[in-house]
Amino acid sequence: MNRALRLVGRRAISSIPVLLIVVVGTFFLLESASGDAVDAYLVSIGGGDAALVAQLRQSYGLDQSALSRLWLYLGSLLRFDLGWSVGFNRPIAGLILERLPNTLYLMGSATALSFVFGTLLGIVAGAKPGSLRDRVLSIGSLALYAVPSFWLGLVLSITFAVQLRWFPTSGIETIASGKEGLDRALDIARHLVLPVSALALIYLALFLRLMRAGMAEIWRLDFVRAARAKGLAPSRIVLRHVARNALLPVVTMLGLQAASMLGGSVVIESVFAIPGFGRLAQEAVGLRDAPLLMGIIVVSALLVICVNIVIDLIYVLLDPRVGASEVSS
Amino acid sequence: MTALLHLTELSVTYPRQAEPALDAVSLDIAPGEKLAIIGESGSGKSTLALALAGLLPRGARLSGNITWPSLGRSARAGADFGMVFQDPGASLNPVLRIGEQVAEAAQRHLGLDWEKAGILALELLGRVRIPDPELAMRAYPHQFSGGQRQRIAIAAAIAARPRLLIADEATSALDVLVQAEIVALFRDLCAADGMALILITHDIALAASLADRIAVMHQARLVELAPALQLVETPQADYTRHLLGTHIDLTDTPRIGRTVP
Amino acid sequence: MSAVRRFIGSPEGVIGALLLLVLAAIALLAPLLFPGDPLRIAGRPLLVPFADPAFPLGTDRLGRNVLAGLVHGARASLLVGIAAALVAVAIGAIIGTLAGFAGGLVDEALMRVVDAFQIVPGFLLALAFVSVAQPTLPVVIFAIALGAWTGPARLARAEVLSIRERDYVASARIIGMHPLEIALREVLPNAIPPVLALSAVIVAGAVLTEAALSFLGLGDPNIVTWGSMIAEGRSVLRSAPYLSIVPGLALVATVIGVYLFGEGLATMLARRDRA
Ligand SMILES: Nc1ncnc2c1ncn2[C@@H]1O[C@H](COP(=O)(O)OP(=O)(O)OP(=O)(O)O)[C@@H](O)[C@H]1O
Ligand SMILES: [Mg+2]
Repeated sequence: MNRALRLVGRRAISSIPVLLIVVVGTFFLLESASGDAVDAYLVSIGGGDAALVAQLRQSYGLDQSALSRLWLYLGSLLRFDLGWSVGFNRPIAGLILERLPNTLYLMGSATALSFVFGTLLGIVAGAKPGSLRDRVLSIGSLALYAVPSFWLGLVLSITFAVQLRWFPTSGIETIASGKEGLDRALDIARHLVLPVSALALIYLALFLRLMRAGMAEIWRLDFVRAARAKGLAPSRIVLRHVARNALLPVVTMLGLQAASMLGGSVVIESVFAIPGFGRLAQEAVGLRDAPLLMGIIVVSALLVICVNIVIDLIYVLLDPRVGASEVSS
Repeated sequence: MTALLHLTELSVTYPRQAEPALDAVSLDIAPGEKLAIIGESGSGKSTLALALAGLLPRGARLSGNITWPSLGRSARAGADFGMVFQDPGASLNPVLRIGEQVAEAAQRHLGLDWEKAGILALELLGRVRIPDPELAMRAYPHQFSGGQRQRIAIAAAIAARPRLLIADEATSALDVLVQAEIVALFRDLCAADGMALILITHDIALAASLADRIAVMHQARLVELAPALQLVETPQADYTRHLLGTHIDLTDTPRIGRTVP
Repeated sequence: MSAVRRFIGSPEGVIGALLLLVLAAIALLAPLLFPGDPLRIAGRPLLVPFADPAFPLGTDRLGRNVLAGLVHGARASLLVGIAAALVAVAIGAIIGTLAGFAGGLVDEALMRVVDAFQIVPGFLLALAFVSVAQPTLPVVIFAIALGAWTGPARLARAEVLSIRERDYVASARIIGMHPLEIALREVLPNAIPPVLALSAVIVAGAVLTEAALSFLGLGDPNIVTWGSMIAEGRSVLRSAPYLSIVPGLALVATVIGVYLFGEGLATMLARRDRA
């Protein structure tokens, strides 16, 4: 337990400079854009005079130098203040907090499902490398992994929402249904089935491939030969010796994929019109709302850091060799 | 007396290989006998061990016969024979507790539940002289030295009380002092349990000091098989003489040197 | 020569290579097969596939030839995929080699930058980059490469660290070669094969990312891409779903081709290592 706590502490501290690089880098990237949110705002209201422009710029702090604004931004970050969204005319932190849960439902369920079923099918394939079922699963997962998630989403939507009408085509819940409690949760779950499937199927293919590749490696190792020489039951050799070891790199990959899954949710949320975090990013781009985009990137980086710390903790539980001094990276 | 194990004309050819890695080898092992197999690298010693254990890679062709007259049936890995390998670091599963790895063969073959198998494992760890077996049961392989890991691997291999232990260069990766301890352990275990031993080694002195008989392998064939002392003092095959000769050059052991003209 | 034989020895690799060859031929011959702008209106809107021999795959909502779009779209997909991977591998190989060779503070700083790029979702980064610059093809390529270079960088660095310790680098030092010269002449060529195997994965990822960007309307509006065709088909998803389905199938075929080719490369490398 102590080992775990120290690990969390160290990981959190070592994440600070990385996060700082993200903030500064994103800041200057968005800074280099031609035209800021005030321009976009003016276009949207049909133009304004110079006095209004100057007043707006001043109220958003856009009249100061980039460095001093960066400094101010860093200061406000420490207070969990992400600034003001011009496009939505609301504080950014509140906006993000409102959208984040939908994305977390989507990603959380997709990750859990793809990890569980991906590793299980990976074990089925990897239990007998070179067998027929291994080849079928390998080729199938390769094809599945080649499918763009947004297109899979569309195909699922055409089939199961438009044609069969089993699930709603879009949204996170039925609008103004007045549902409460369990009814509402079920309603949200029904809306999430298709987007979660679209994301999960593709990552399932990834975890399946990782697991079977890992197992193929482990089968060659000495301790597996030793286990076979002990005459253990095949299921015990496959699960306890081979799969148990092959799981370790898959868990590491789970952390590495967190960022990519968050990115993938942008498109899926767009396909299914889910008012989530990713959709917000797309809206921020459309509204030329640089501070909002900045806030989204910073929060997603934070999210990825947190996910990776959790994954590291799980890894420590799974691999006794990882001591307090050495952490898998 | 019925032989424990009887090999007739055993040949093995690995996939995509023209030459057999084991060529018509026949030999007997008596219950409780300690047989050393020596020979240069690539002569087929490990192939012989793997063939006995049924652990040859897929696609390898095996011909000839392996019978276990004293069992009256074919042998089961783990229950009738155990195996110890060269690299003690790699032959234990890095993420499972020692207790589980020592107990699992007993649980599988002796019809014990995990609790009873655990008690047996604890006793075995004591027998192979692991300090503080209680603690070791809950520890992981990386927490032990090379010699200790090899002791643990031996404990795991003999957990189901096999009649034969096959040790493939089980001491080669260890330093001389630790080697001597492992050899002493083999001697004790065989004496106490009446267990037979196949000891594969490069080390003729070791073979001569531990084994009852020595088999010499050369280019996939068994070139000589004789009681240890007889083989060392009056070698018949040219290759054996050559092997003994190089051994003298290397270490100049007087006891063997005296017998070679 | 033996490398070619090793590659041919893996059926996956051969199938992948054939798929890619066909796609590349289609992409190269697009202007000959379907001259003129594929985005121009060519016939009656929403012709169904196989109805009119002039439009084997029908027309879209505005009456554009779907097959022409598909064939021209292959150009964008392959170009972006390969170019983005090249840029990513080049940046990654340079930075990774530099970090591995320099060691110390430089290494530490560069690796923190790699970490930073790894915790920002690549797709968000591409989104931000494209929105800041204009959505032209080079910008899209660079935007995608920004999210993909960290893998090659880590790999190159690890490779350098392991090779660095080997004898010939030490002997090169003794001869008095400059560290950078050693890096370029001795270390980099050795680090390249595994990076190459990784690049297939990056090409596939880049093709998919490009499609997603243009699906969201963030690609170059002046060229036809499969992603934009899928997006275009969405407005008539109920009546003409094939408009979205067909370009997606082309994407899947391309990415499968790249993966298979990559598997072939990996098998080839593995056999080389074992030999
Ligand atoms: N899996 C395999 N596939 C093909 N050939 C093999 C395989 N394993 C061993 N061989 C070959 O079979 C021959 C005998 O190998 P074996 O491992 O039995 O020798 P050994 O006497 O144990 O040698 P060492 O003392 O080095 O362990 C060698 O020529 C070896 O190259
Ligand atoms: Mg051997």
